[in-house]
Amino acid sequence: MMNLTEIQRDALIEVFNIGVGNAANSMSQLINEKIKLSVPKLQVLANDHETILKALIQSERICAVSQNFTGPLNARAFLVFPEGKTHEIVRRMIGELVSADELNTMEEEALRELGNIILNACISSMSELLGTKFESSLPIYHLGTSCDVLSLDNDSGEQFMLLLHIDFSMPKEKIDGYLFFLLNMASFNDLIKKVDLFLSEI
Amino acid sequence: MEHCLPFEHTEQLLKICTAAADKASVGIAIIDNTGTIVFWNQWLKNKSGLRYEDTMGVPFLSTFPELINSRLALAIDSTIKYGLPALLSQSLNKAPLPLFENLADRSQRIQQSIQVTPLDYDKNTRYCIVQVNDVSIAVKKERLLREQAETLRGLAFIDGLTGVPNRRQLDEYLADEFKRATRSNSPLSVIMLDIDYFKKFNDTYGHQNGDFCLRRIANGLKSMLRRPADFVARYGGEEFVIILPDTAFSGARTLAEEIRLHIESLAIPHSSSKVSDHVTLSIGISNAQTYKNITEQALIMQADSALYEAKNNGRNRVVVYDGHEIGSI
Repeated sequence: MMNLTEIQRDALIEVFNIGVGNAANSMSQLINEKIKLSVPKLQVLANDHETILKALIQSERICAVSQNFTGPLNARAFLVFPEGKTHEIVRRMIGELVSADELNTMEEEALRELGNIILNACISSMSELLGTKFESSLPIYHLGTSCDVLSLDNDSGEQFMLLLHIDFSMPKEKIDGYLFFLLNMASFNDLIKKVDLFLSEI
Repeated sequence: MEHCLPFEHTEQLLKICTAAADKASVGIAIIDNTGTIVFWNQWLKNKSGLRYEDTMGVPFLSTFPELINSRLALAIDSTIKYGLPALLSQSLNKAPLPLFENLADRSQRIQQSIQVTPLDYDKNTRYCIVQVNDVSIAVKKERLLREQAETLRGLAFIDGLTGVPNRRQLDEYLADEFKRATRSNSPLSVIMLDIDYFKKFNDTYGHQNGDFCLRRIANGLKSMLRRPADFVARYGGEEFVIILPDTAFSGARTLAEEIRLHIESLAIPHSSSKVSDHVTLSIGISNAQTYKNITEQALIMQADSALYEAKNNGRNRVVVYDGHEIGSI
């Protein structure tokens, strides 16, 4: 069962919208300017991740921050930007005075925090709405091809991917980012069950 | 040899662990689910200068009221609430805690990188561990590198003779300002100017005096710019370019005329000039108001051809690109 019903999809988008909404507040505090995050799209991918990601991100290499979540269901969550797009976000966060060269050193650290804020916010809202608890690793920074970063090949068994497109709207700028949640079959089914349970209670 | 301490040695283990945490050269604080500090290691004691009774059993935010609603406080809150670890990077959070290398000099805080991790004691009790790393040395190294890079970069972008930006910086600045003006649809003016009969000046007074003259002109031009975004660069030889963002024709024309008069009033002697006894300028102006059919190179070329016309029309004057001449001897 890889297709979500419309109501399941809406419920999940709602969860993530609340999550990234909270994250946007934390980020605005850091950046000192209004930042708006929205989740316009949710897709579920069952296979051929790589081709789809390439078409989507249109960049050979991606920059990502990941955390492993464990609990009632296990997932690896990624916040992903096309390589090069992160400069602008980090520059805003650190202050305009920083040149592109020196960003590299600060960038990794800043992105880990940014990813941590957004991923935690999403998982928190998921755990709140679905009434579950998660544990998590600290964020890890990656830079490479989408295949390397997501290490799609080495995992045996079918991997499901929840893919969310996020708009980062800052004054004068809009940047596209993505959230990926990689789940195995069992975890994906658990997630659907949790969503259904949540839906039956409202 | 036993590898695990037997149960009755719990108290001993507690002592060992506490002592270990106190020996650690990172800051370790433990906060309970009511936001109260239950552990504050020796490193934190040393760097914060807080007494035992200021921290132990005291709400974290009572000890540090400045942190109310801060990112650190929110991170601790949500770690307690959701059990997810948080990371506060030094890049984005400049020294959240008042920690000092030298408590006698509190002007500079220790640069910090902070991890907030949940610790589930049992099903209903969650603590959070706040681990503080001193990254001051790394930050200092980075700053040093940055300063060196800036100096090098500065040297590469400044005209050595006059101390104003060189052509390279002009190109970058103009490109940036042109983009900005296009985005905001605001006017952008370019002034190009040239010292009249400068070759004759050099022949008459020698190159050393020529260099001195260039420096005086460059300083004179700098002193005439009013706004931080106004920009002057040496374009080459005895030519200078001024970029005036958010400036319409009329404003640029007024400023150009003021510049012409100012340089004339410096009264630098120039006996071989055919238009004056003193050093004078010929000035060309171009302006972009709408950005449909123009590039930044075209803007420079237009200012250049206005300058050419100013020279053809007798020098020591200002000409705007549309051919309309104002200001003369």
